[in-house]
Order: sequence, then structure tokens, then C-alpha cells
Amino acid sequence: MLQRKAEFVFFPLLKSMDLEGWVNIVYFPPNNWEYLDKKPKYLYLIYPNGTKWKTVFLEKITFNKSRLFSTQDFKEIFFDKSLALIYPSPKILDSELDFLPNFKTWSTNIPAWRASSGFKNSYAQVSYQSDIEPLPEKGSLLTFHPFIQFSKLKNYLVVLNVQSNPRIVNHSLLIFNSKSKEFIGKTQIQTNSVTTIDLDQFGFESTDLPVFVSKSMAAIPFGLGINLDMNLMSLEHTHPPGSFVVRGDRNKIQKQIKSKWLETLKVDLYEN
Amino acid sequence: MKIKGHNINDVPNILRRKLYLSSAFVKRPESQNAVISDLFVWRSDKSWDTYFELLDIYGLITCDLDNSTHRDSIFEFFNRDGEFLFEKVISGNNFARNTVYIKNLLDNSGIDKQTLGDFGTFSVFHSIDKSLDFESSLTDRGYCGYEHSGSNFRGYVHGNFDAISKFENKLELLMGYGKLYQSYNLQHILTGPSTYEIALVNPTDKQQSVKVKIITLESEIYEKYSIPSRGLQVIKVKVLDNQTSRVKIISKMFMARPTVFRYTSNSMDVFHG
Repeated sequence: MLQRKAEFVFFPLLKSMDLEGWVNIVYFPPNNWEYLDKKPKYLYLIYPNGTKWKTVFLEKITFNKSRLFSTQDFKEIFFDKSLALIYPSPKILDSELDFLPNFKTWSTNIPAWRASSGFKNSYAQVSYQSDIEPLPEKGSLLTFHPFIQFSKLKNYLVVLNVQSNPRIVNHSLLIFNSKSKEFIGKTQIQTNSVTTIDLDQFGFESTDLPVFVSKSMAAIPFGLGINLDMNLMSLEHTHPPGSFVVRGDRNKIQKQIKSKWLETLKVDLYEN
Repeated sequence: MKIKGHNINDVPNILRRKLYLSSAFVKRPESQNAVISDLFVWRSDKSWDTYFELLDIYGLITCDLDNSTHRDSIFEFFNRDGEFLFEKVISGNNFARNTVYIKNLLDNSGIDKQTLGDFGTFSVFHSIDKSLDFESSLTDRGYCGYEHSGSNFRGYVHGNFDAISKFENKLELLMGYGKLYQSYNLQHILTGPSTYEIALVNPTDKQQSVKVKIITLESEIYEKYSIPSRGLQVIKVKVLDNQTSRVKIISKMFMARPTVFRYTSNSMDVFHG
């Protein structure tokens, strides 16, 4: 059974450290049969200031066109939380919003309509196929991370959260060794933000599988690797635990996996 | 107004969906105890090496990595034409992450390099201790790392499809295809100067005819391919400085979504298109 996506979607423009973020959005659908509306859309950049979503009108985009945006195109203040969203709105938006807009805009299911989001520097660029629907305010994160590399490079965890409510709220991210169940460390992540965490500080070895847990915030975790010459980068998100199965009730099995791991890791002991 | 429970405005989309998705998007495997895998892309030549992050998926589902050593993973390798090459069983370890260097498996298979070729597909089937709860089946959509030109650096990409199942030693392709040709527009604008290699897998049980359209400002180029079941076609596209291109893939496959390799003189990127 295919999961039906929301009919509105946002494309993230991410900032991490001194890397330039970019997003290339495309106003042509992935397939030729699911989307018929070819009306021009208003492209907005939307960013959180902690109490409101601020909107910046960029331009109109017509069907069959694409548009590349970079963090360097905009003021630094827009990326105070290292996150902005590009939204193809069917109508003019107010300059400030209490919640993210949810007007029906371009969206498909098979497959989902995506853009390319990524980072670049003077030597290299890296990307993933991006789209994001606002995550629930009451959510959690459990993910296993096999992306750490051990040659001459730096390893980071990039944590992306977007919620409809623009509040910036701190949450704990707990780090464990999945095999030994050893508690490795604790750091802070935020809602409506991109948080970059240096993973090399935790001393993982090549046969270790780190597990990252937040009991109170859903998020999309990425592994970001950058070699020391800065000419190679890797960016990919990990799967949620529900992706280990098909068929049946994936929501129930995802809940079961999360609750087993949260209990086994004794997450409550380290939360406070 | 509603027709058979559907809002009348949704009816055209529902009809189109029935027309284009004329069979199951992903087939139900023969048994709930079948295990499922993506058809991952392997590349092994002077430019590319492939690694697979082997995790004990059953142990992660059940929160039981203490018994990983009792569980096996079966790697099944296919060549570019989808022909079976060899099987390799890797026993579970007492550690959680095993980065498998695919070249070692290929070199130790006893099959000569010419038969193996430079690229193909592979699947990873995990043993399970018992049936999963909630009538679910285990699948590995895991992570491949690709190294370019001996850089000692891997670009990671996750698996995407529930492509193939294994039950009692029988393999079954699961991804659907329709009666009508449909387009998949690569949702990535190709930018230069760079070279792209678009790796398209056929995860259906039938040979598929594929037309690939490369669109630039100046021209449109069509190329036709026939990809056998479980097989792989790698399509190279060079993009010049200050040039952009788009790619359209026309086939009967419901998910003609490729893995894309992009490289320049000194860097590379790999992602799902």
C-alpha cells in the first residue's frame, strides 16, 4: 500500500558550518500522469524566527522550469537556525505566518516530488533528493548510523527538524553504542533547525553502529562526511526503523522497535 | 458530490492511477516469511569500488544484537544482464557493523573478470529467527558506499526498492510495471562541468524497453535500451561548463528511479535521482 503524501510540501535549503547550502527545485513532476495543474506558482523562502515563520517572496515560477537557490543568495539572518524552506505557493503569502502554509501545491505520490538539496564548497558538491512535510510536534527519533568513515576525513551528524509551529524548542539527543548498549554522550537538537554534530569526538570504531535517540523530537538524520582536502563530501539520510519491514502494519512495528530500544537503552536514565 | 465514496474532483486522478498502475505497485511476496532486498548496484572497475554496510536487520528489529552470530546474510550477485553469478553467505559477527568490500567477494567468487563485468546488481537476504509481528516481512534497503578513483572516501546512498524476495531458495522479483509507457523525470538538473552516470536497474520480472531522453537547451537526444530482469544499464552523460541537462526515462516500469553518479576531475557525488 502506497502512503499518500500531503498535498503540500517544502524543499529545504540547509546550512552547515561554513558550507554553502543549495537547493535546485524543479517545476516538472516526476511522472507524466499524476499532476495536471500547470499554473505558475509563487516561490517563497520561509524561515523561523522563533515565534513566527517569516516569508520572503522570491519570484514566480512557470511550469517546466527549474530554479537554483543558494544560502549565499540571502542574508545570514535568514539562516539563524541553519534552515530555510522553499515553498511553491499557489497564492501570495503574508510576510509573517503563525504556522507553515498548507495550501495544495505541487505534489505527487509515485514517486514523491522532490528537489535536490545539498552542500558545496569551492571544490565539491553533494546532494540528496529532498522534500519535507512538517513533522509532528510529539514525535521521537531512533536511528542507526553506519556512515562513519575512518580515512582522512571528518564525520558529522546533521539533524533536520521542521514543524508547522515556528517555535524553537531544545531537545536531547542521546548517543549509544547499539551493540554494547553503552551510553556514549548527549547533545542538544532544536525544532525548526538544522543541528550539526561532530561525530569524531565520540570515538566510534569501524565495527560500531551508533544509535541516536530523541524521546521527544522527530527528525531526519543525515550522515555528512568531508575529507580533509575538502574535495569529497558524502551526504545521505538514514532510514527510520519502520523501513526495516514491508507489508503488515508498519506503524505498529515501528512503535514496537522504538519502545524496545528505548527500554533496553534505559533512555529515561539519561534524559535529564 | 461523491462517486463510490470518492470526491468527484478526485475521480480523474483515480482513473489515471488505475490506467497507469494497472498491476500491483509492489507484489506481495509468496510468504510472510520471505525476506526481501533491494537490487543494489555494484560497480567494480578502475574508477569505482563498492562497499555495503551489512547490519543485522533482524537484530535491529527485535533489539537483539547479542545473537547476531547465529544469523546469516546471503548475498546474491547478478551481472549487468541480470544473470545469476554467485551466492556468498556471510555469517553474523559479534559486532554490529560489517563494511563489506564487494571487490573481495567478486575476486573470491572464482568467476573470471570478463564474465563478471564491471557492474551489476546484488541483493542481501537476512535470516530471521521467527516471523515478524504485525504480518510484516523483513527487508534490506540498506546503504551502499561508492569510492571513486581510489580516493579512500565513500559516497553513501540508501536502497530504495523492495525489489526481490527469497523464500525457500526461490527468488521472486516484486516491483510492478504497467501496460502503458510512462515517463520518469529525473528530479535533478544536471550541471557541468561534470560527468553523470545514471544507473538504472530493472526490478521487475520481465525484460524492459527503456527510452532515455537527454534534454539540453540546444538539443534532445534519445537512446534506447533493453534491460533484462535484475539487470542494470549505466548511461553516461557529459555536461559541459555552464551547461545544464535534464533526463527523462520512458518505460513501463512504475519506478524507473536510478542511482546517479556524478563526478568531476577531483570530486564525486552519488544519490538517488
